Amino acid sequence: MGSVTMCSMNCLPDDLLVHILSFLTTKEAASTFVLSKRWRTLFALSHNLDFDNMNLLDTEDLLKHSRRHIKKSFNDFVDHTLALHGNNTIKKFSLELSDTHIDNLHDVDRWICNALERGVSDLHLGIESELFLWSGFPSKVFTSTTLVKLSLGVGTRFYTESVPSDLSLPALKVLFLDSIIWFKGDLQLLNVFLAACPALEDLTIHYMCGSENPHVISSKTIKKLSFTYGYIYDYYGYFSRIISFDTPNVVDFYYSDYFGSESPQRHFDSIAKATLDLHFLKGDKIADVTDLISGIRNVKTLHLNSSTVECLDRYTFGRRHRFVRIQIPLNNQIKMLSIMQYHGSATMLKLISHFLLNMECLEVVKVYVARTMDDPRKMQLTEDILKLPTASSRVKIQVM
Amino acid sequence: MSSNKIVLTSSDGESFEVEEVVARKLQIVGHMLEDDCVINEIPLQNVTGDILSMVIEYCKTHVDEEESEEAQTKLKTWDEEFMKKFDIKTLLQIILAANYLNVKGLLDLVSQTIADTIKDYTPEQIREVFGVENDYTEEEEAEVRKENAWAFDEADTPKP
Repeated sequence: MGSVTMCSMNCLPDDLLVHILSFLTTKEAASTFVLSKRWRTLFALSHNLDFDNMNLLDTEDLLKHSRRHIKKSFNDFVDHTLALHGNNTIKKFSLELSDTHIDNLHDVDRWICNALERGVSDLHLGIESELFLWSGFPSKVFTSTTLVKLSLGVGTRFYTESVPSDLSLPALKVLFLDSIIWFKGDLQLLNVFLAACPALEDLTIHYMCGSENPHVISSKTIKKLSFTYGYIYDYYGYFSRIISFDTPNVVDFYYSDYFGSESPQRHFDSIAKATLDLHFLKGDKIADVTDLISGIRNVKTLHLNSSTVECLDRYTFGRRHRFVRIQIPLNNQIKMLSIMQYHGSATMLKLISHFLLNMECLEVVKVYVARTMDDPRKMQLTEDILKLPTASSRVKIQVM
Repeated sequence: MSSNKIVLTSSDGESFEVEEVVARKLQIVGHMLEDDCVINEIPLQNVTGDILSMVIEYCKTHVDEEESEEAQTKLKTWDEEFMKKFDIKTLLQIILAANYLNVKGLLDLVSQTIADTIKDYTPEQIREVFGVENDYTEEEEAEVRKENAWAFDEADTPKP
């Protein structure tokens, strides 16, 4: 064996040090400037830059300095870092700003344009401004040819004027929309947006609120779709979300919703994997879940998470302990079924039995028992489940 | 694919016989094999035997990059345990080797590990552990601190 020769950080070339620093937030990486002269500018050369002033208002600094002083210091830091970065490529750029003053909006525009000019491919913007109706982004964001991933966060407001007529994102593959507020009539902008993204494969809509009218979300290219409704009343106090999907090429579908609402209509021809994350609203009437299961006809992998299992459990329990068959479509394709957080209730066991009898293609069933369960109880339940008759002869059942 | 064997030789003359699929995880080797497919012995000038053996251990474990969640979780746990085996000086040697041999996964894994250490340490500790000498004069240091005032917590400033 050769001996390990002495090696210090000085042995590493600059590009390797910059690579290491790119695994830190820009603020964390920046704290290395003080190490030595060599480190003074390295942090700014990272391909990933992120700036976040969200925590400014609850820092101890606020006791020592005025809010204005801290904001100026933050702005100076962003400007200084971008200046040091020079004309190097930026791969990932993230900007999280709270309570942005109207006078600073031109700085924000400048920073975003700077990142776009350096060919940024992954852009995250979460900018809250004092102006409620501020749309925020320079129109260049919507005509970038380099963006592959775009994530728009809290504070974003879409309205017709905020989207340019030459909207086109030819390289965009991943779109993440978090807590976007859509006003009456503006939701159709989403489809205008989707139509301008011919390469889009992955769409996540998180906490959608403000849609009043029935609406279809359509895209022919999306393969992965994740949709989460939050329990949010919007500013007008209405809570409506009559949405259907026309996304025939979705393979992987995650859906999170509260029961008690109307189930969405879906057009999923090629769906292969579905994860359901369903919740009850407090004081909610028992809604019809039979349709929700039957809607995912071509699914091969079905994952029911803990909350969904609880829902199904309570759903059947809610009908005075009488077990209600949940419709499972004939000729379903489900090969893999996973069930989380099984507490061992009799209704759930019946439901599992029902699944086993009606899913003819099943190959693997994974039942995860609740963590709190003791070993003897777990062994008993395992035995009960393994005794159940199955429609598929080659199914393997694992209780974990 | 047939299990063709390739011999990798370190700078200090240690030889390792590995399967071709493993050797190809070292992209530098992958490129050589593409240029001339009859090579079966490859000398690697910039890496010693003890470091090369660790790189090979990583590549063997990562030879099948399965996509299933279970396989991913298992690999991740293995990665964490693997990193715990090394002190900082060895990690610096491994990152140099991963960079030279072009093993992207290992390069990122070690980078993440070193980055996590940097995050947890004060500048004084980083200098000590990584062997970095402070060559700023007092005036220079005061000036750079001013430049980056926002990013630099007061708490990190040494007491006068």
